[in-house]
Amino acid sequence: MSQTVLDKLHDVVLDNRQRRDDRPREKGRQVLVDPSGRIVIGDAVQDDERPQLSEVHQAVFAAGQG
Amino acid sequence: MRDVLSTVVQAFGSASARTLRDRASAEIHMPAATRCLVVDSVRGWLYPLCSEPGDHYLLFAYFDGSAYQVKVVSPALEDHVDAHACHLFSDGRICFGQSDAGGMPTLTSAYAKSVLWVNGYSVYLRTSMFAF
Repeated sequence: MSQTVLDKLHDVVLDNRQRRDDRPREKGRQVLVDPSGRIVIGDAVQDDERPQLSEVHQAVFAAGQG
Repeated sequence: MRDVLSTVVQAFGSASARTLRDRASAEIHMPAATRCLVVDSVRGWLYPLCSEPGDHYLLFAYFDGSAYQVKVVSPALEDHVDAHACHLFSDGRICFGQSDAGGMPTLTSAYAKSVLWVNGYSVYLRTSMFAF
């Protein structure tokens, strides 16, 4: 299961970065996390779950300079 | 004098409002085991995470005056780890890349992106490639 989640996450994040879309509106391209730290792709989220979820800003991480 | 008092009251009010807002955000969005702590006069939120591959992390999120930072408390970063490749500052903070200071605009957004980071780091430990 974990590998499947990470593979899907990898595909979604890289695709959004190529589109330069850090905060996609389309559910299937949104990445969210629940309070336990579980990653959920937006199209798998039920409407009643949404208030507890936090959206991941998908811009690339930067390299630390310090 | 009135200007100074006004500035102090404004700053105190702003800090109090931020603390209340962050407390509410932490209760709704962050792990149940999240604790509010003051470390070296800095108030922050200590929370555990487990990545998809099963690695356990302890992180500390705090507001530095301009943005929310997240520091990796544990595990200790291994000597062979390339901090640059793993998007880390030398003091163990995650470099989110949203600004020059590397922070995020809200506690919730910092928490969410830290989840992405722990998963990227767990992949890095297994493949030497940061996944995200």
